[in-house]
Amino acid sequence: MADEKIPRRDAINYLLGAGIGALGAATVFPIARYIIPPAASGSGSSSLAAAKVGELKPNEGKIFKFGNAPGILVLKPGGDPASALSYAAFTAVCTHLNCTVQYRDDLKEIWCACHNGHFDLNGKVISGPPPEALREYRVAIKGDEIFVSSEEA
Amino acid sequence: MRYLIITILTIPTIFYDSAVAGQSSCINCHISSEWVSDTSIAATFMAGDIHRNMGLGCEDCHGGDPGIGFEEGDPELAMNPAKGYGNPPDRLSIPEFCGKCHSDVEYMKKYNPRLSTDQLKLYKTSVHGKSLYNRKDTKVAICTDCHGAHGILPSSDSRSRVFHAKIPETCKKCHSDEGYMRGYKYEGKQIPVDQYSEYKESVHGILVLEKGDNSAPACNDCHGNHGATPPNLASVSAACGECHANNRDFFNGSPHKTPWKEMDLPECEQCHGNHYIQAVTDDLLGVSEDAICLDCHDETSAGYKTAMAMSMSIDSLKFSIEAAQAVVEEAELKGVEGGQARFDLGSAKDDLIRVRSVIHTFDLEQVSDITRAGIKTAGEVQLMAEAALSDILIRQIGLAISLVVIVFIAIMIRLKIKKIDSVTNFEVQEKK
Amino acid sequence: METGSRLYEWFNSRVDLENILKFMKKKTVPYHRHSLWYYIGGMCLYLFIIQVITGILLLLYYKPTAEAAFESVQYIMTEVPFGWLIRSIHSYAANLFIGFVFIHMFSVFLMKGYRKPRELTWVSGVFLLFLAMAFGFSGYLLPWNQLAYLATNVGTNFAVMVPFIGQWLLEFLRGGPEVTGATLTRFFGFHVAVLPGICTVFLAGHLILVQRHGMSVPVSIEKEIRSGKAKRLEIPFFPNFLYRDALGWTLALGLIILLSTLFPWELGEKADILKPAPPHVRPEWFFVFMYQTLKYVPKALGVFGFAVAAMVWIILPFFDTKSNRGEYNRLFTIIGVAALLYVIVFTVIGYVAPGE
Repeated sequence: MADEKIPRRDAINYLLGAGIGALGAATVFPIARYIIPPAASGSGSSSLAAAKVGELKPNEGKIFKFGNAPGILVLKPGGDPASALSYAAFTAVCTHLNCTVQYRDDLKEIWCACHNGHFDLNGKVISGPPPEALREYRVAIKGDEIFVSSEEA
Repeated sequence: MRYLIITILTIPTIFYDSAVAGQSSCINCHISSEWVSDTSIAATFMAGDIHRNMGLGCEDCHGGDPGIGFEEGDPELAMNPAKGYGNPPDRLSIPEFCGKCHSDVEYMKKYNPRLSTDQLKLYKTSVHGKSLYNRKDTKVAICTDCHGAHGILPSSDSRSRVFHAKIPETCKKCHSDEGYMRGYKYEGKQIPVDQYSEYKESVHGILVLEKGDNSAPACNDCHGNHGATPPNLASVSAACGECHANNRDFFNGSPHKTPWKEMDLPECEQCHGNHYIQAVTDDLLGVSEDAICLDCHDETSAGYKTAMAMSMSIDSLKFSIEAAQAVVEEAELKGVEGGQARFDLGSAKDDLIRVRSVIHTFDLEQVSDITRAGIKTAGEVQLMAEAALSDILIRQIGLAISLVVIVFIAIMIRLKIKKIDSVTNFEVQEKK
Repeated sequence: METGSRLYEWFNSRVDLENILKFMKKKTVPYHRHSLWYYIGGMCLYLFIIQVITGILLLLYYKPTAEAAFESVQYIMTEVPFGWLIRSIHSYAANLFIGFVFIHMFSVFLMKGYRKPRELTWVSGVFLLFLAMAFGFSGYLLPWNQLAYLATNVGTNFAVMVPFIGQWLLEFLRGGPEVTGATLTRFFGFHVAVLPGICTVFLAGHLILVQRHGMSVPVSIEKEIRSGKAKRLEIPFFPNFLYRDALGWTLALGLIILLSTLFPWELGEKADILKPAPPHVRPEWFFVFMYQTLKYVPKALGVFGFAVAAMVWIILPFFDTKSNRGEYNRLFTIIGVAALLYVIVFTVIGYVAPGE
């Protein structure tokens, strides 16, 4: 009896220890992953990194996800990629029927494919049905990231 | 007496800046009811007439000498035919009268270099101008009917009768008056008087009259203003295409262009109407009851099949978007989807909006290229949202592993309790 | 081994570990047919600790403003790795916590565990229940979704029934006359700073008292022992009792992660102040019995009644002289059962009765 008892008890201790160890790992792992935020962006914030410096060539545009709506970042023709002043950013939601606009490097304009609306690089309507200008975002460069902010300057 | 003179001299200065005050005997008399029965003409002029603001005076249109007559107490000195004074021009000669200056490029440059100088020329091409000159019909609109005479305001002034949102009201004064319009014909038919009441209810009318949207068309945007005329049948798409550029280009390249021309059909208007243009629905296309295609295409025609196919392809895109939307909304509500799906679905919605324009090509290939792309996007989005919802195998595997560990620990603890209980004495010796 | 004992010595000479260990070794818990209820308190403590840990984790990403709160919770749920798990655990454990606090309270009441010298343990415990409900009420609003917004609207509205300071109290709670972003920020402050602070004091007091007095043995068991019908049994707190505690905690953890994974706590729709309220707004379940009652009685009277009832409930032990003498007090058992039934019945009615 006594001979049997001791090993079994040891086995329980050992297994229990192993189980608690596994549970500990299963607890620490999610928490460790949780603590480090996903790379892309913060939540509901009014600014985000829309692109990296050098990602856009002069006379090139990029659509990025800003909150739940698209935004458009344009490096103006002949602009210096390292200067925030060379960039223009707007909501990419056309003021006509909410289509997503795009940059036309041949026209050097922002263009909406749905109904041929044209906007200049200040967001103003050049032609077509859009009734209003695109809302402009602020652009700033921090390190090698181009930040876009919806806050009023 | 002295007091009276001071009073008389002071009244005009209320409206009148000192540079002109005291110089124009026209105003000094015409503003005072001692001299004239109707002081409103001078008052209106002084209150902000564009010509007055530009430094022009009564004499610039009426002639005469404003520098004399008031102090002398003799109006005839000012209204002297020898100094060019003449009676106001009659209706027949008013366009030429205004045009004296307004058609003079050099003269107009001094005041407003941006203002065009072709108004009179255009007017002569208009239905109004032609009636005036060809038939000496003075009932038709002349400059002053729209712009006023002594209280002319620039069209950028929201009080002006030719301000964008006021134009329909201005045209309506004659064009909705049945008695006034009686006898006026266009292409042999009595001109109707319901344009305003129709326009008021139209998409454009609501935008202009209620929403104050200056980018939506008023009467003049399609008909012209000084050269006002019904758009030529073939130029309807040019008028509409000013704004609806895509649709114009699509239509002009479409197989409808030629037969329309041959049958003398008024392009866009044939399907959409003119003054009473309503927001379009997808029902206009296809072979259902409300579809316009049926007006020409019967069941045997190829057009009938194309109409049906285009309509179906749009319907299936709409259906895909709705289905995806429902799943996305559910996923968002449950908190398993954070906006990426909705964002991606936006592209399918773009396709729907775009294809509604592309149908003006009446080309099934082009239409279904877009709807196919949209349906594909919507399908992908739906899958993504469904995956998020049924989310997710990995979570459940993790759960299963954790539960195994937990149950295992629970069993071990249970065994452990049994073990240690077996060597524990539960009984308590009563304390002393 | 060498290092272990040296470490022990180092601490022992500074914090008197020996005494603590001696206390732990000596500490026993009564063992009888009702002793299952002794584990409820430990369960509450365990769930509370889960709340503290997951709460702190949520703080890493949560943003307490009307503009960003919903989006930040959405972000936690969808973007942050395991964010859905942390938030769901926080929500489920919160509800389990309040449920167990209720069970704990009624079991203690019915076993007359409050009797002398444990009256203050009871008082601190009831305060902890109120604090738990305040935690629930304030935390519910934080995701800033439509349901929470409406429930908070209705809930805070009862503050005006308080005589004299009603309006002031309402504006204090809401941070203005209406529920707005100001309310959210304020509730956040209550939830993560004010309530935890107060709670720590009461919890510490509660736990110290429990350690000082040990577990109370029910009157009936005590009688049986006195009359010799039963033996006095006790089990050591360490390790026998603690292992039993741990068993419960392990199973509770399993239940929580099961619920959190299979039914992640919903996010709902973002609160829209301009949206009209739907007809069936219901507060969280632990308020339903009160909310339902207020449908049947004049609101002011109801609120006054609950305030009085709460106060009576707190001081009730001081009047139970019979139990203090070790006699069975039928009246207090009836009161306890009546209160329990009332809470259960009105909660059920609140869920099944057609809303008006």
